[in-house]
Amino acid sequence: MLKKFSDFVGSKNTSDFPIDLEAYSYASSEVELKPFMVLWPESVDQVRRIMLYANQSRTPITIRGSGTSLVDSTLGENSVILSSERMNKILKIDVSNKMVEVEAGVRISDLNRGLAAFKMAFPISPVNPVATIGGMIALNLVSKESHSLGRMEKWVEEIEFVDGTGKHFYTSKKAAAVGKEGLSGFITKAKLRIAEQQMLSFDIFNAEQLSELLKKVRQLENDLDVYFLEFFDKKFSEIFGFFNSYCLVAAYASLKGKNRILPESSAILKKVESAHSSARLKGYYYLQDASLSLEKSYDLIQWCEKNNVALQGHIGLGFFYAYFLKEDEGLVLNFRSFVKSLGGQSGKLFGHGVKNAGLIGSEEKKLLVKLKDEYDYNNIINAGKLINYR
Amino acid sequence: MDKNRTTENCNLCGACNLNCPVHAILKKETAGPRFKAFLEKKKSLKEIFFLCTECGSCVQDCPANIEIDCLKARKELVQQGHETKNNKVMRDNIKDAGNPFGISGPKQKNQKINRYYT
Repeated sequence: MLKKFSDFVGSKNTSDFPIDLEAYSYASSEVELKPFMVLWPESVDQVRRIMLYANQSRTPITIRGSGTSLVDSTLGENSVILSSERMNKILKIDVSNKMVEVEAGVRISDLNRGLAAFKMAFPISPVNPVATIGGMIALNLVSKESHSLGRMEKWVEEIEFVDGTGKHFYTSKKAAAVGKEGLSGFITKAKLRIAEQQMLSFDIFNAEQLSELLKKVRQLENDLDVYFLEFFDKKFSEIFGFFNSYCLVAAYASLKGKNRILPESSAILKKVESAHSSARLKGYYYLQDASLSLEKSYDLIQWCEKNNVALQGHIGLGFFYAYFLKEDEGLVLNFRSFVKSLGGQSGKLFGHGVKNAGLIGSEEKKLLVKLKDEYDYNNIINAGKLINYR
Repeated sequence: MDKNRTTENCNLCGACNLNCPVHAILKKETAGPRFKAFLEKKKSLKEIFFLCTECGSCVQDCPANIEIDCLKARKELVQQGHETKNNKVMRDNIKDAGNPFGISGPKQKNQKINRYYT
C-alpha cells in the first residue's frame, strides 16, 4: 500500500516511518491515536488519486491541516493521515475585486501576512494563528468579528474539494463542505472575500455588578455600529487594568468609540487579542467552548467564577471560551453538563469531532448522514467523527 | 526554570510551529517545535532534537512562553551515544578547526568552545 500511495504523491510525500507516525498521533489535546501512514499531497490531482484508491481499497482517511483541533478531529487510529501542509500556496490576490484564492493548507497568519502588503486582510481571525483556511471552513469558524461580519461561510465564495469517491467539485454550493468537519471530503482550494484592514475605535465598560454589565450588552448587541463585543470576566479584566470587575470591550468600525487615536486603539486591540495568551501565562490549560443565550450567560458566568474557571467570549453572539487549570480537568465535564442544563451547547466553536459527537442534535445527525450518503458512502473519510455512519 | 515555562505546561496548541524555519522548509509536523514539546513532555529523547536552529521563534510565538530545551536533550542524547552523523562531524570540526565547518587553520586550544560543548 505504501508503494501505491507513493506512486500517487511521490516518495518524499509519503511516510510510514515511526517518527512521522508518532508526530501525527496527536493534535491539540492529550489523546494519542497512531496512524499507519502519512501523506502530503501537493495538488488536487494527487488528492483525487488518493481518494479513488482509498475508496476502492476501503482505506480509512483522516484529514489534517495544522492539527489544531481540540476535539480530536484530526486523529485517526490505524488510518492514513491526509495532510494539507504542503498545499499552502496563496494562488491569486485580486485587490480590485477583493478576492483571494488559496490552497486549503494556507494558515490564516500567512494569508494575512501576504495580504498586508496590499493593506487588505481576511477579517475572520481565529484564536490560533496556525489554523488553516481548510480547517476554518470545515468548522465554519466564528471569531469576535463575526458579531458584524458573520461566520466563515459568509466570506467563502467558492470551494474546491474531493469527496470520498475521488470525485472533484469546484462549487459555490458551499453547504457540502462548510461546517461539515471534513465529513464530505478534502477541501483543496478556496476563493475568499477579503476586506481593507479595519480601523477601529473602542469603548471599554467595566462593572462590579454582573447585572449592570449585561444591561450594557443588551443596549449594544443590536447597535449596528458595533464591530465586535467582547466579554472578559474578573480574571481577564486585569489585562485592562480593572480588578474585581467585569469588562466589556465594544469595538466600532467608525470613530464612535472614545478610544479612537491609533496608538490607543491598537493597544486595546492587542490586549483583546492577548486574552488567550494571558490565560495560558496564568497556568490555565484546558479550553472548552460554550454557546448559550444572553439570559443564561448570567448563570454561566457565576458558575465559572465559583469554580475558578476563567471566562471570556463573544457575548453578543452567545459564544464563550472557558479556561480550566490543569488540576481541574474533572471540571470540564461538569461545565459541559452545566451548559447543557442551561439549554446551551458545546461544540459550536471548536466543532464536534470525537469529543463533542454526543452533543449533536438528531436533526443535524440526519443531515450529516445524508451528506455521507452523497459524498462518502463507503465512509472512508474521518470515520467515527461526529456521527457513527454505517 | 519557572515550571509554567516548561513543556509540562504545554497543551500542544501548535502556535510554536508558526515561524519555525525548520517547519517552514520541511512542511511537516515532525520537523516543528510542537513535536519536540510532545516528546519532551513524555521524556522521550530522539534524534529529532538535533533538527532545530535554536532561533527561539517558537518561544516568542508560544502563548504560554514555553521553552523547549533542545540543548539539554542533545547533551543527553550524546551522552547516551545517540547522535546524528552530522552533529558528530560538527563537534569534531569544532575541536580540530575551531569552527563547525572544518575550515582548516592553525590548531588552537579554544577554551571557550570546549567549555561550551562540555
